[in-house]
Amino acid sequence: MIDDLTRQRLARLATAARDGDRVALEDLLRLAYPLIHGVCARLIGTQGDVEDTAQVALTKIAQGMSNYRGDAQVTTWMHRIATNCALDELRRARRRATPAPTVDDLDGAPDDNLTTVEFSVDVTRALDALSVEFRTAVVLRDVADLDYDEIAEIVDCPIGTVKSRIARGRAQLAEMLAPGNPARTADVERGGDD
Amino acid sequence: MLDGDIGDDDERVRARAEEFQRIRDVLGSPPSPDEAVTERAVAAAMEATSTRRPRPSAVWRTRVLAAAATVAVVGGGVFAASQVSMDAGDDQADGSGAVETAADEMADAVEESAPDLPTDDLETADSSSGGDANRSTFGADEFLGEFATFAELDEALTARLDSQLAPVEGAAEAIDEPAATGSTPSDSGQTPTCAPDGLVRLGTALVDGTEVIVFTGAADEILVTTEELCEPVPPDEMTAPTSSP
Repeated sequence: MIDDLTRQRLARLATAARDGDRVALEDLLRLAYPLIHGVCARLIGTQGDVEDTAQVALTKIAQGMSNYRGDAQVTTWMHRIATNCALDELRRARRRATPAPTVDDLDGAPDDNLTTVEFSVDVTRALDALSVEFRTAVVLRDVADLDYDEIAEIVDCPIGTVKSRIARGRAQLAEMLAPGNPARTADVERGGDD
Repeated sequence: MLDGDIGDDDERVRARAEEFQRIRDVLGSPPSPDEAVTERAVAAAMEATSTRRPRPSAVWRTRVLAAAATVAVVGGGVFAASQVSMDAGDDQADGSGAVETAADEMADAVEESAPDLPTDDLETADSSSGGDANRSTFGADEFLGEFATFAELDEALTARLDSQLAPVEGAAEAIDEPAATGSTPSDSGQTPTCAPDGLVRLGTALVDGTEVIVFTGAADEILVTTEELCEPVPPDEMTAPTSSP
């Protein structure tokens, strides 16, 4: 989530970086990377290389900063780049056979925290199962904490469509993650409903 | 009874709200990169903005070299390789258009290098990608244009190159050996040489500011090598601060 303070700081740094301040650019990239990485992680899930994609996105941001016009919020601009990079990675991943994530994929998960870990895996799997359109909308809203109009600008569709995708995506997530759903890892592992 | 139903509904609504909040909590807490990863990413991005060409990693360079070598084969090998130069960072800032940029530059290099190359002599870089040795143009742009992004192109070419790097390393050791047999002058004025193990040196390509050597063996083999290709970029070069004025 991006708090207001971070947004303001990003905006100040972007203005300075656009004007050639390389120290500001470096600070901006350092501040932005966890945000970019988070969006890439949620959009790509287990279906591709998150770090590689986030690296590519950050490089594009750095290279494109001099062309950033400032007519959109810098967070919108950066997330658009991250989203494009993540969707590119997903397209590539479709040609690869990626096994479905399991609890075993989380190396070193502490046993006493298994329920939380399992639920996290479930959320990842459920996100992976959403359509790219729904997933993108939900991630930009619930992970990147962007406004509807920012998301609409990024995915290039009307705000109404964005709201619909978010609502339907959330509903599908809730359904997939509902207690008692046989697809839910936690329930499968425990052999039943909570 | 009615009160009980309402109570059940309330309970369900509350349970659903709690469940969804739990989902949002997880969603909103994606895995965070550790500090080392962040610093490496920042350093590489800053490096990409410097006046030097970006050199994020040896792997990336391998991919770029693969792309150049493919053009060499698509364009007839000998003739194109010496002219290929591309900047992998030329793509659009929003992540689109990378392939078009690379494809245009490569196709221009191919056509400039070998304007009279008979199409019958063309070899396709990857028959599975729809290449056609008898098409009426060089086809480099068509081939590259089949990929939506440069990264997709990377993947296809890197996979192809992976199986061919090993023999190239052996060939590289013999690169300074005198030419053997079977050499023919190229349109670019270079004389391909034949390595002792039978690989034909097609020529050199300037890729990302680095001269690479392009070989070919059988008709559709792509073999590239360079000293740097076999050695990872030194860590200090990958992470050196570039933000100083």
